[in-house]
Amino acid sequence: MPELTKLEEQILLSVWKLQREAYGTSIYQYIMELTGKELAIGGIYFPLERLVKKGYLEAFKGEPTPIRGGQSKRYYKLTRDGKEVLFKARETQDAFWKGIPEFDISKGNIG
Amino acid sequence: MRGIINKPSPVGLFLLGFFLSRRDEYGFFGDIEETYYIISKRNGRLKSDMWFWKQLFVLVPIIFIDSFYWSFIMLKNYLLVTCRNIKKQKMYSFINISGLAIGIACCISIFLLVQNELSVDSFHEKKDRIFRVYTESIYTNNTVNMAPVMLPFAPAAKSEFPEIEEAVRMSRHNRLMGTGDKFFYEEIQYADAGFFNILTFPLLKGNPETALKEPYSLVLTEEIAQKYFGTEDPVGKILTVQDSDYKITGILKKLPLKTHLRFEILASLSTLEKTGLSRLTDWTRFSNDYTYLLLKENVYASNLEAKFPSFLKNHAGEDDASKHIMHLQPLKDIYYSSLTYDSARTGSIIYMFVFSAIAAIILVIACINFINLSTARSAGRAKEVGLRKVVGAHRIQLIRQFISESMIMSIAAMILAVLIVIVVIPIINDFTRNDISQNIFENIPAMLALTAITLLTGFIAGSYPAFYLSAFKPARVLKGTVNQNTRGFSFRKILVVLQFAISVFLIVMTITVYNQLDFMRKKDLGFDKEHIAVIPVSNSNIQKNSELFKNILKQNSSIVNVTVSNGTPGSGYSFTSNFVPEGAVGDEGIKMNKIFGDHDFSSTYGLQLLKGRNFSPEFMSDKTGAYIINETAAKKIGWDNPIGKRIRMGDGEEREIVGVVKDFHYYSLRWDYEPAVFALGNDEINFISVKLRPENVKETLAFVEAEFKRLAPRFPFRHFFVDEKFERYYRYEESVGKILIVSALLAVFISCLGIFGLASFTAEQRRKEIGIRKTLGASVTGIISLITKQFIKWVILANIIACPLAFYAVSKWLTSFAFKMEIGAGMFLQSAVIALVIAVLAVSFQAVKAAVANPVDAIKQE
Repeated sequence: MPELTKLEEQILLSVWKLQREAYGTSIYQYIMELTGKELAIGGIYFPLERLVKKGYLEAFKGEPTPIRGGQSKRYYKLTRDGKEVLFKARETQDAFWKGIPEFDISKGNIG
Repeated sequence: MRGIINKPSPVGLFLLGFFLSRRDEYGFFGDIEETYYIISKRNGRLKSDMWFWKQLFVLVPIIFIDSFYWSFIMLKNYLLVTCRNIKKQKMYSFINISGLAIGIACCISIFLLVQNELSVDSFHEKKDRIFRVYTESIYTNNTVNMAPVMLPFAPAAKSEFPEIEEAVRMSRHNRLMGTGDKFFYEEIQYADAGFFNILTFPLLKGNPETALKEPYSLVLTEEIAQKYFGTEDPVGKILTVQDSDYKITGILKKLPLKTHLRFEILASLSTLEKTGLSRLTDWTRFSNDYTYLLLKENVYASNLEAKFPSFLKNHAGEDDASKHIMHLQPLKDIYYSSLTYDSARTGSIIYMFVFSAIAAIILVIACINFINLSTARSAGRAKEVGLRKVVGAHRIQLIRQFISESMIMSIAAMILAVLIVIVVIPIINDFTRNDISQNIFENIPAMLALTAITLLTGFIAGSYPAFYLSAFKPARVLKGTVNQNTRGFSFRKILVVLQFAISVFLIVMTITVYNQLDFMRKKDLGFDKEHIAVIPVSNSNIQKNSELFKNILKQNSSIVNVTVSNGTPGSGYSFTSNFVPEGAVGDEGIKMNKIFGDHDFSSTYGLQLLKGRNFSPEFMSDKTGAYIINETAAKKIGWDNPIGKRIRMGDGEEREIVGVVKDFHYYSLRWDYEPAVFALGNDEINFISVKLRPENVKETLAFVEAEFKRLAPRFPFRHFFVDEKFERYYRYEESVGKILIVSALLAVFISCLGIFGLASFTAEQRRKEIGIRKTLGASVTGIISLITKQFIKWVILANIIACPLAFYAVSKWLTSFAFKMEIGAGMFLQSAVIALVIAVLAVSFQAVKAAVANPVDAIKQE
C-alpha cells in the first residue's frame, strides 16, 4: 500500500485546492497559511519531485515573469493516481477515528 | 521604465546558484524570488531579507543532501573516469598518490608527536590547581630564574596562607641503596607526605595518605622493587640507604612517560629532618630542592604570588628577601620551561612548531605536484571536458567532478598514509623516546585530523586544476586547438621554483646542523678528552684511601695518570662559590666554579698552563695557600697578570694565585666558558679520573674494577668516559639533525617526483618537435640540454630565493650556541649543487629517453 508522509499529503491537497495556480510559491504559502508553521521553502522540492516520480503529480512549465527574476514557473497538477491515494489516506484515517469512543468535554475526561 | 522590483541580495543568489545548479529546473529560483517579492510587499524589505537569509541558512543541510544525491548518481561515472585515468596514466598517478601519501603521513606523524608532547602532565586530576614555585635570583648585574626553592619555604607558606591547600617539598639525592649484596647508586627523591595528595601517581600497594609520613619510608616503582626483591612482595621489607635502614611502604605503578617529573624512588622527607639536614631551616641555601603547591579552588596564583615578597621578608630577613623573588608556575608550563638547575624533563615548544611547519611544507610540496601534473596533463583531459560541456555539463559540475577526482586520489593517499604511519610509529617512538600508541584508529583527534587533512588536501590540490580545466571552451577544444596559455605555464613554473626553494632551504638547514655538530665535536675542548675513564666515588672507603688507590692504579703500565677531584668536565658536577679578589669592597665577589683536586689534575686532563706554575709537592704551602685560575676567571676579575695576586673564597682565607690555565670546556659548547678556580684538597672527592693508554682499554678497566672491589667490596663500580659524556651533550642537536635530514630527503624526493613528471610531460608534448629536430640533424646531447635547460634555470632561481631565507634561519639558530661554526658560502654552494644534481638526474632520465627515441616513431603519425 502506498504511504504518504504528512507533508506529501498536505502538498497533494494544496495542489488540488490551488487548481491552476499550483506552483512552488503558492504551495509553500498555502501550507504555511493552513498549518500556521514556518516552513523551509527548500524543503518542499524533494517531496514535490518525489510525488511527480510516483505519478501522483504532473509538472509542466509556465511563463516567465519579471517578479521571478525572469524564471518560469513550474506548475503541478494532481493526477488520477494522486486523487486515489488521497482518498485512500482519508479512508484509513476515518477508519481510525471510527474506533474511538466519543468523549464528553464537560466531564473533562477522555474515553 | 517599470517600478523597481525588490530582489534578494545578489550574494545570496550567487551562493544559491553555486550550490544548487540542479534546482533551477524545479523553478526554485523563481519561487524564491517571487516569495521574496510577496513578503517584501506585505511586510517590508527587512522582513523579506530576514526570511531570505533564514531560508538560505536552513537550506544548508538540504543542499548537502541534494549534492550527495547527485554525487551518488554521478559518482559512479566520476569513479569510473578516475579509475580509467589512474590506470591510463600509471606514472602520474603513482607520483600523485605516493607524494600525497608521504605528505599526509608526515602530517599525521607530526600531529601524533605534538599531541603527545602537549598532553604531558595532563593526567593529574588536580592539574589546574597545581603550581611549582621557582626562584628569581637577583645578582648585581643579572637575574637568574631557577627551579630550586629554599626548603623552609613550603611549610611556612602552607601554615601562613589559607589559599594553599597543600605544599610539598621534594629533594633529590644520589644515594647508595641496596640490600644483601645488591647495591646501586640511585636517584632518591625525598618528598613530603602530601605528595600523593597533589600529584596523581596511583599506588599499587600501600596507602597514599600515609606512605610518606613516617621517617625512613620508601615508595618504589614496580621495576625498582623487582630489581631488589625479584618476585617477592616488597612491602614491609627493608632497604639500606647510605647507612640507615628504610622500610618500604608503597609500590608505584609504572610512571607514565608523559610527565616532567623523573623519579623511581620516593622517600619520606621527614627522614631528612631526622638526619638533621641543615638546609631544612636555612632560608639562603639552594640545592636540588623543589616545591609544589596545590591551591584551593578559585584562588588566583598571581594574587598569592604578590604576597610572597613580604612573607619572605618576615622569614628570611630584609637582605635575603631583596635577593630572591618567588614565582608560581602552572603545572602545564613546567615541561616547556627552561629554568636553571632544573631536574625536570623538559621539551621545546619551538621545535614542535618547527616540526609542524615542516610537515605542512612537505604536504604543500605534494599538493604542488598534484596541481602541476594535473594542469600539465590538461591537454589530455581537454577533449573530455569539451565533450562533457557539449553534452550539457555545467561548469559547476565539472568543478565538482575534478574536485571529487582529487578527493578520490587523496583518499587513496590517506589509506597509504595510514599504513606508512603505522609502520613508522615504532621508529618515531624509539627515536624520540615516546610511547605513542600504534593503534591510531582509537585516537579520535588524530582520526579527525587525518580526515580533515585528507579532505583539505583533496580540495586544495583539486581546486586549481578544477577551475583551470573546467574553463576550456568546448568549441576550440574539440576543434583541436588546446589553449596552451602561458598563464598556466608560468603558474606551474612558480610552483616548481617554490618546491625547490623549500627543498634547498631544508638542505641548507640540515647541512648547518651537521656542520655545527661536527664543529662541536672537533673543537679543541682545552683539555685532552680521549681515554679518560671517570669513576664516581661517593663512598667513604675509597674517599679515605684515595691516595692508596691512586698508587695501586699508577703501578699498572697501561694507566698513564690518575687524579681525584670534586668534579670533572662532562661529569655534570660543578660547585659554584663566591670568590672575592683582593682589594674588592665588601663581600662583592664573582661566582666561579671551584675545582678541588690533587696535584695530578692538570696533567691528567692535559690542561695548558699559560702563566705561572702548576701545583707542586715541592711547595708545601700549595695545599692551603694557592689557587690556579683559568683565563675567563682572570678576565672576570680584570687582572692582566694575576700571578701573585690574592683572592679568597667566601669568608675563607685569602690565597695566592700561582698559575693561569687556558680555558677549557666543562659543559656543552652551547654554553660559554665559565670562570674556574683550582685548589688542592682531598676533602670533597667525588670522582677519580683515570687516563688510560689507548691499547687494552678493556683489560685495564677490569684491573681498575678489581682493585676497586678490593677496597670497597660492597659498592658498585661505575665509570664513564669523558669523550662519551661530551658526545651525549649533543644528542638533542643530533636528533634535530636527523629529523631535518629526513624531512629534507622527503621534500627533495617529492619535488623530484614532480619535476620528473613534468619532464616526462614536456618530453611527450615536444615529441614531434624533437623528432623533427633530430631529422634535421640535432644531436642527442643538444636535445637533452634542450629539455634539461629550463629545469636547471628553475632550480637556480629556487636557490637564489632560498639562500637569503636560509641564511637568516641558520644565523638565528646558531645564536643559541656560545661556540658556533662560521657560516660560509660553502654550505650554500653545497646545497645548490645537491639540488641541481638531483634535479638533473630526475629530468635527464626523461630527456635521454626522448632524445634517443627514433624520430620516425614520433613523426610518422599525423
